Amino acid sequence: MKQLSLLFFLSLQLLAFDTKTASKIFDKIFTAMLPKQSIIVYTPHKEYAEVIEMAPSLVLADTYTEADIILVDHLSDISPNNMQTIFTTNPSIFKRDERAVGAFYWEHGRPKIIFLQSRLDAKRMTLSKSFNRYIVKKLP
Amino acid sequence: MKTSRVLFIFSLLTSTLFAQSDESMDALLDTFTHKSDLSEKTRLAYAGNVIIDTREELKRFYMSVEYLF
Repeated sequence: MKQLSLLFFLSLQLLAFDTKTASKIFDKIFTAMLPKQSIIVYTPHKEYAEVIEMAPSLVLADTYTEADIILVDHLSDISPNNMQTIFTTNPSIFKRDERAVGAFYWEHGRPKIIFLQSRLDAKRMTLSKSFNRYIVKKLP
Repeated sequence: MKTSRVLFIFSLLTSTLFAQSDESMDALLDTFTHKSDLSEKTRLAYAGNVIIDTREELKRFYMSVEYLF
């Protein structure tokens, strides 16, 4: 029984993800991208769906067609014909896919936020001044 | 005496609420890193006989696999 409870505790630790803080971060990022009271976000990932549901200014969409922003982690999640605004948690998508205006991912053990100026311009998006340091002119 | 105590509690509550609503992005990213670090440390402490891949290593592995397909 002791071993079982220890195993249960360890499995909980392995699944640890700071959903509460992540929801605050995504809330700030998406409200900076779109000046709306409530922003509709679609994500096919269960983990990020929980994050969106916890965020005060974000509403989780059932389908991508009604979404203002699509949050993705894999290229297979997005149809090539879909031209909606994409935000990704995968740096490789950010580098390769022109629809991805920004990304939030881990780099060298630190969470990193990045936006590409040309893609923001193409979507006619202007972020608040506090986000200036996250905007780059060239892909890393 | 009572009024000052009430004022103290009120100011404490309002400052806490204000601090919560106005958390900077830097503070949020620090909290996110710190909490992830804590879970990582707990894992390392309790699972001494398990090989741990770092987040970076997993991401690199995923990217190399994705590149192949």
